[in-house]
Amino acid sequence: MENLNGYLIVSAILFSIGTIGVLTRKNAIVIFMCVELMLNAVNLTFVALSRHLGNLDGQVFVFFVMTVAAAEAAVGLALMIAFYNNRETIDVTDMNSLKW
Amino acid sequence: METLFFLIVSIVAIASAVMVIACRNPINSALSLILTFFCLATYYVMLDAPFLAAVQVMVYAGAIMVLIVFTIMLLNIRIDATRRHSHMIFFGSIVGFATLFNTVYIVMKSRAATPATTVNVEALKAGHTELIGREMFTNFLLPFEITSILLLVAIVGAVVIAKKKI
Amino acid sequence: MLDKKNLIKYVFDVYVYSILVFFINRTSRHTEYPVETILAIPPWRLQMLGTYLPILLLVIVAVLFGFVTLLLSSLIGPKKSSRIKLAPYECGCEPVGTARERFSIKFYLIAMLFILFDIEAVFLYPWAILYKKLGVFGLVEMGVFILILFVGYIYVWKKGALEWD
Repeated sequence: MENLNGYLIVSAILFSIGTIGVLTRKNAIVIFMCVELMLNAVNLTFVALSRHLGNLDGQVFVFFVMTVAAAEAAVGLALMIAFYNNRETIDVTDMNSLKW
Repeated sequence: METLFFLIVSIVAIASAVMVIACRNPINSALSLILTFFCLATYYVMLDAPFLAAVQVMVYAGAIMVLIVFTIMLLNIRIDATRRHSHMIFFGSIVGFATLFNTVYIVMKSRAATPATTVNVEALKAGHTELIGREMFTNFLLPFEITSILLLVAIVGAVVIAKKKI
Repeated sequence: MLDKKNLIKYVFDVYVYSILVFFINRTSRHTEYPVETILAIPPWRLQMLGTYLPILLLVIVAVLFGFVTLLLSSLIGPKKSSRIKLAPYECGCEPVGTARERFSIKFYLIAMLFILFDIEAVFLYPWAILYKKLGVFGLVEMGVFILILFVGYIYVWKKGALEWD
């Protein structure tokens, strides 16, 4: 498929939606999902450019991004559970003190 | 034909991504995000990367989203109608649209440095999985081994954080 | 002349015919490309994408089935609701407690460990395909990879995260 620009623009739109979500939502889990969305938008750019340049490096990078996303999911969600056990909320506006 | 398919998948992907940030209930957001991931897997198939599409479905839609849905159900946050679920909408939208405008501007203005390479049909017959593996186990050997250390740290960290208070 | 009986027969014929055409196209795909010339896509590419056609058909059928069933049942189903009928159904018993109950954290630990070892499995696929070509070198590098993750596995085991008590 020759329309590289199409893929890049879709990726840009998804990334911007993720940005808006991270900045405006209050629920920490939804913010987390928006970060995943942004990571995926970048993955799409990697694959599209890798296909365009005929070079597989980008696709290998996507694997590493997925690994980082999985590690981030495991630790980040564990942090959220720990926070919820302490404060009974996961609203980011309530996360305003360093020590409880 | 393929362009039409691309358009349909794009519309579904963007609409479900908007649903992720628009839904009030986190469960609905999670389900929309799964749909977005499936659309991205479709893109990977169209970009001649079938193994990546399979991995996308397995890892993202199959494992990470399961964990997120588990967490939502574990915490079981009640949707409190009295509290607003979003804040700083004006500021956030400005930043988001600035990002969008900036990126699209660069994409439209720039010319591709090299013309699109035609796919090597013989290489594709060898199999996408094999090509990826050949790249990963020779040129990317050190990053691959470091990945295992990252996973080890994630295992230990998550168990320590989650197991502390049961 | 097209009364109801003939119409059904006609629709059925078209259905059978389209299935036949689909399978004939499938079997003849490896020798000649009658469809591809019309669509102006390189033949090898359509052949490759053609292998995903069943998945696409499955998705379309699944979505249509869901919509059509819901639509039909809301259109032609009788709606006589009573207090007992509207009660939540739970295997014929009276529902106990709320449905939105908090899960135990054990489920979370299992799911989390599943993710991390799922990633390991994903890295194993390309290695398994390349196993003979990489030889001892590949065996050693994958051995180091699995060994490092095995340390984490032993940690989890000793910490007692796998116990279900």
